[in-house]
Amino acid sequence: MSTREFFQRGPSPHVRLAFFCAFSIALVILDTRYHSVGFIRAGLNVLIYPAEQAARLPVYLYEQSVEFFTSQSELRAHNERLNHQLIVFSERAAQSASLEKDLNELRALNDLPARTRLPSILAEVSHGGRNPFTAKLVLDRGSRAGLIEGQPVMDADGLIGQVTHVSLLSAEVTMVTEQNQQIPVRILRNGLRTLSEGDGSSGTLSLPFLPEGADIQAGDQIVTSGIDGTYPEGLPVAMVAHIERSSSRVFARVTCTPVGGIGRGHYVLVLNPPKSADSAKITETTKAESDHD
Amino acid sequence: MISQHDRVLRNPSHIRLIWASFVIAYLLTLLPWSGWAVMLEPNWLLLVLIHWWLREPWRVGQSAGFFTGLMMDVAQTGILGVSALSFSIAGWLTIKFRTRMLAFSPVAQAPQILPILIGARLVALLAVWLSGGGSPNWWLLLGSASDFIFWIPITLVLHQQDLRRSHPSP
Repeated sequence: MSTREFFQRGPSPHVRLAFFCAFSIALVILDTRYHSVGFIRAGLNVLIYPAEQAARLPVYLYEQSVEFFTSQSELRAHNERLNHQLIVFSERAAQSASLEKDLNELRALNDLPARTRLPSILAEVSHGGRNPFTAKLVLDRGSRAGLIEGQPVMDADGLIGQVTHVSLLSAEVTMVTEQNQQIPVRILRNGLRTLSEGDGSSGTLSLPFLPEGADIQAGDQIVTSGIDGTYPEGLPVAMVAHIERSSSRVFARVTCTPVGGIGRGHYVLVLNPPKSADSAKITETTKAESDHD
Repeated sequence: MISQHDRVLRNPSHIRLIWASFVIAYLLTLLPWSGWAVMLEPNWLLLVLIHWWLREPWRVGQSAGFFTGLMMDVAQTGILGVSALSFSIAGWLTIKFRTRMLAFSPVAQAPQILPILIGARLVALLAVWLSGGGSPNWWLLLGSASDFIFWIPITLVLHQQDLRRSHPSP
């Protein structure tokens, strides 16, 4: 029989419990209130990266084999659909290029800065929704690929969320449906500006600050207003699903369903916030001015 | 007749088995669970922890619970410290009632472990709620049922492996 402590040594279980509870609560407070434990998370994330990849392997293999056995007719139908979309989108792209040119000319006439296209990074969703408490996605790109906290993330259908934690090889995206996640938006039909707020577990959004008599209908499209400088203007966010008006309340209760492929898409686009482009422009201008002097 | 408690004292578990069980439980946690599966996913790490808290509290103590909880928080992209807190409390409860629970067979232990499993989930729910994560989703407590169902096979498999690998005392 190996040697072993028969009598317990060290602090009693109660003391240990008190110590670990205090430590855990301190971590929770530091994480939620001050966001100051990011380095612990980033370090541990790098540590678990190989295990994460290993755990993804069975699902990856399954997906690959399903893809391999896709029938010829399905592939052809898919290809045809994509070709059709390509024609539609090329026409729109040509139109949008000429519109962009017109817009920038008009903005120049009014002494407004031209709108610039922002560089974006394509990333793959490693996994999503593993945490039962929060609406989050994890991407397979991190600070090494140039991701920073605060970047908006979208897929083909619309806005998905915002990058909230970045480690070397992965990044966490908090989705628009996350509780208390607010986005400045406007209603596409009439330009009415407001804030949207995630509802948490139900997977919907609400517009909590619209007055009871606001002009809003079910089916209205909600897009980003670009006011905060985090989200570029005009990204589709949600569709109004249900409106509840009552004379006893000041605000209407508006429920919206997100349009971004939450939990569906495989690839996402990480955009650069317009703020960073503006600040880059400001630095460039000041630099040019100082050169001029 | 040799009691389970004596057997635990006589046959120390293989350290490699302890590590392997944690690695497997962690890989299971890292699988891309989604949708309803997230709610019904057993707390693999907690089940393995409880098994070792009962059998090897000298090697797997309360600190192991805390650090495993921290790793779980990172794996789940949750608030850092929530699982660490719930595992620390579960560890204290298990070690407190350890001697009594070892007097029973693994199957008979299950109903006694159920309150600890529910308690661990409740602590995590309340911690998320109090830290401003929104109203608690009580459906998540349903996961304790799958913890309960998986407890028996997990503890039996680990125990069998233990008996096979451990060196019987002379």
